[in-house]
Amino acid sequence: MTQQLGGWAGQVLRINLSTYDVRKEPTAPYHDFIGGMGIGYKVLWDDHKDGIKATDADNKLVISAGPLSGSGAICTGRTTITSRNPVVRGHLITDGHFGGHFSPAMKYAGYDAIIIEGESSVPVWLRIEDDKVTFENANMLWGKGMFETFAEISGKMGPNAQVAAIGQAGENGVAQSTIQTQGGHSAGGHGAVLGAKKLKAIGIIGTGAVKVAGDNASVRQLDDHILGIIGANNNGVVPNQPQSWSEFHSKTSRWRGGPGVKWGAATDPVDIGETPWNDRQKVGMRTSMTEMYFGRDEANKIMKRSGGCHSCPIRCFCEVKNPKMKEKYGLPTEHITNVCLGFLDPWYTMGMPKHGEQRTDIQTVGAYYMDDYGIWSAYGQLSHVMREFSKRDFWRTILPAEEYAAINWQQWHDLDAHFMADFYTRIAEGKQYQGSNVLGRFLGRGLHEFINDKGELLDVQAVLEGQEAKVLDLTFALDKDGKLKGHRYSVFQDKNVKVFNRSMVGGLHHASESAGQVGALLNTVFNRDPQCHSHINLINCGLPHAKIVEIAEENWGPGAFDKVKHYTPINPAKAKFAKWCLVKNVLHDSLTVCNWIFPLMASPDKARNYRGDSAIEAQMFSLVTGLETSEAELDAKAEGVLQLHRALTILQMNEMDQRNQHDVLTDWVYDMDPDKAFGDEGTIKMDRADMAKALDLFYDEMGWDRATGAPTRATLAKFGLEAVADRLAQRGLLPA
Amino acid sequence: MNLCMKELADYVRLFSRRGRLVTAAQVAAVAGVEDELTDVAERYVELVLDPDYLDIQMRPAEGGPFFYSQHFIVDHYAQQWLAVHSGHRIAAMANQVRHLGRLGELVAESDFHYPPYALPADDMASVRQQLLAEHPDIGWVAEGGGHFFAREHFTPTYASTLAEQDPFEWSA
Repeated sequence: MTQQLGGWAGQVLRINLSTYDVRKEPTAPYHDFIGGMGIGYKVLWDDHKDGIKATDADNKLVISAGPLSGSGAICTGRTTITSRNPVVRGHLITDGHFGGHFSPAMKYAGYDAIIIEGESSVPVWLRIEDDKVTFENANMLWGKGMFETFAEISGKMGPNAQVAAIGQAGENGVAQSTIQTQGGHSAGGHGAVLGAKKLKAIGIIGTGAVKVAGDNASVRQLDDHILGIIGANNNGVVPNQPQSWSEFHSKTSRWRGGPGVKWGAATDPVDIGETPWNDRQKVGMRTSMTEMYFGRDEANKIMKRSGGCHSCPIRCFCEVKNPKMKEKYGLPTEHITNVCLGFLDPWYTMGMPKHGEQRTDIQTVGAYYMDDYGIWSAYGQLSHVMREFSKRDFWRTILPAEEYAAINWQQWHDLDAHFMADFYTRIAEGKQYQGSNVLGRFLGRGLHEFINDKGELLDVQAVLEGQEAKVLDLTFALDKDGKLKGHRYSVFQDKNVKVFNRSMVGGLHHASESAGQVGALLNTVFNRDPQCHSHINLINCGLPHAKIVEIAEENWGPGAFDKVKHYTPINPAKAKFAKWCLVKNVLHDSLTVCNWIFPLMASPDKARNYRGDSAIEAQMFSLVTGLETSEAELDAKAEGVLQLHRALTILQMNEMDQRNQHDVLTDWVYDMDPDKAFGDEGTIKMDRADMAKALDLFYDEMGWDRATGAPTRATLAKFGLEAVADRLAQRGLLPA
Repeated sequence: MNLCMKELADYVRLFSRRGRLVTAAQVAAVAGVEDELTDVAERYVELVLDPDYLDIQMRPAEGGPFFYSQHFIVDHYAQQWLAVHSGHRIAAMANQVRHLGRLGELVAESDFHYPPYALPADDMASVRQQLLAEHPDIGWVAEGGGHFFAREHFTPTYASTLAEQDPFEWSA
């Protein structure tokens, strides 16, 4: 049956590093979980073991693709990586994602997923050329950075090789580490998992193809439809500045390409000019996000071209050239390719200076070190801690005196990008660093390890040495701390550190500032920052607020979307909106489609009254697989994957009470702006009673028990997860 | 004669690419058409009977009619362009502020640096003064580099909040 379907490659590769055993299994048993994230959760559920850590040999790591990857369907170059995560309290399951070209190559080699089990006794890398799979000696790669690893494996396998690797951070067991593929694409949180397994990299060449069930004409027709609806990154559907072809524009939109924007570092510099929505030759010029990260003047100097993933017309990656990387900072290259946190983390670290040459140097040099070492920031959390603790002069208390004296703080104060070298080296090398390195060892681990239940910081050195740790005597002492001034410091009360989910100590990611309770609810469910852009791709699309309200209310009901910083109490429409966001997010990470673009709820086409088409994913799925599937049917499959994630979290925590042990927000979310109340103009402040009601309504939508937030048997049965319900019931983890 | 109008259509599109509306006489001059164009409206109707030219739009105006291509210019822009180029710039600005106010948006002062207004930054202070004096239903806040707002839809304090709103303040 599988052979007759399109989309899926048909096989899953199971690699046991303890025995060096390679097994190929059919993908068909995973079809109900779509692919990608769905396969990852199912494998982790089936093979669950109590009480293991992310870096234990018994932990498994799944690299997976969905049925759409490699098919040529638009924006389907994503790869999902699923495993327990050492940055998260309890080392619970998380998924990271990278773009690039890895998952298409994996599919062309014949595999929908690679399951990594066990632990090698020596460093190895995995060489996959279609059905030939070999373990290669990685001693010569161990200790090398990401860029050299890519180059060496490509040298051995050929330029078509797609490589997923870890840097020194992963090798050294640094929890805040990535798995990365060429072009600056990284997935966070699992570098140390591969490092513990002594798997340095996977190189893959596939010479096959992904079967597409639909005929060429139908596929072309769908492509045309999508290109008529799609916007820029985060589905910005209007330009960032006025252009004559557009009725609207918005500073929120990531449609940055327009008059005055140049790719000045290109061999033949390009002046972007107007980027009309219906000019398909310029879709790839719309986003031009370098301007957003570097400012127009700097961007126009350093931007070479935009880059991105397999099958993606949007090109949100910024390929830039800063000669000073080589000339002034001694790096081996003057080129760097990245987007978003790759550039922003170094900027966050250094105190978020204004655009200019200093910021450009910080972002390009910092991005190089982060990528080469394979460091993950947990969506900026690492950098926020570094910056805020620096502003508060906490490091003087936290670090040993000799270490504090050895760090060149003047470089930090001077916004000197030379600071990046030692800073990221400390994080990546951890205990291997020559000299005292409490700073790097602390920032390289999960923040949850260093705080008590109140969010107060423990004696970091004692924690690192495995000793009983007392609370450090740190206080809120800045004038901007207001009523907190003089009180003991807590990361749960410091909004600038941006810990949002109190239970998981997870970073804020498009949370209460984005559609109020909708964003807040999204940030309760996953075990790390939610990486969910389903709501952002509508509310930040750049259309006027009233147009967005129209779309939101058509889909989820009256009151679904509030005014910016002027919130109303929770209502059923917001709860439906939140659920929809999560279901689409899981759908995308299972298919695997880019959630930084999809869903396309809005479009730049005035003739459509700016409406998009939320059923495109189902249309792509039907055409590629040959399984005629409606949007509702496909969403139901994705919701099943989401239910499985909830069940797995409960199982791993051995805790049914998700409401009080998982879905809890930090204090600053409710206590910020003390002079304002929830619902006042000008604040994103939330209200505890309102959020409690929000959880009630959201749980109702999800079919979860109001008291515990756990899925009921009826809910699990609805998605064919009766066996999951049985297993939870056996452990007393299923609501009565 | 239709052939002539079709030739002119390409010039209309060319000007539209640059955000500019044109009269038939203007494009005829650029195209080197020496015959005087008569019955422009009638010829336009004949032109757009051909589906290949449906993008060409005609709008009556002083010194007009004016033409543009919807491939490159949206109607809303064309209306503003015609108002600005017929000496009604301040009224057009006020209407733009009211229009976006109804949709829940402010108008950044910097928006008027772009066509069809193309106001030099140095002129903005005096233009702002004139706009606020002539249209008391329009307000202005300094935040975010200066924003106009429709008083019917925003309080000054909420306008200030929106004007300094950074969508990436919390998450990139």
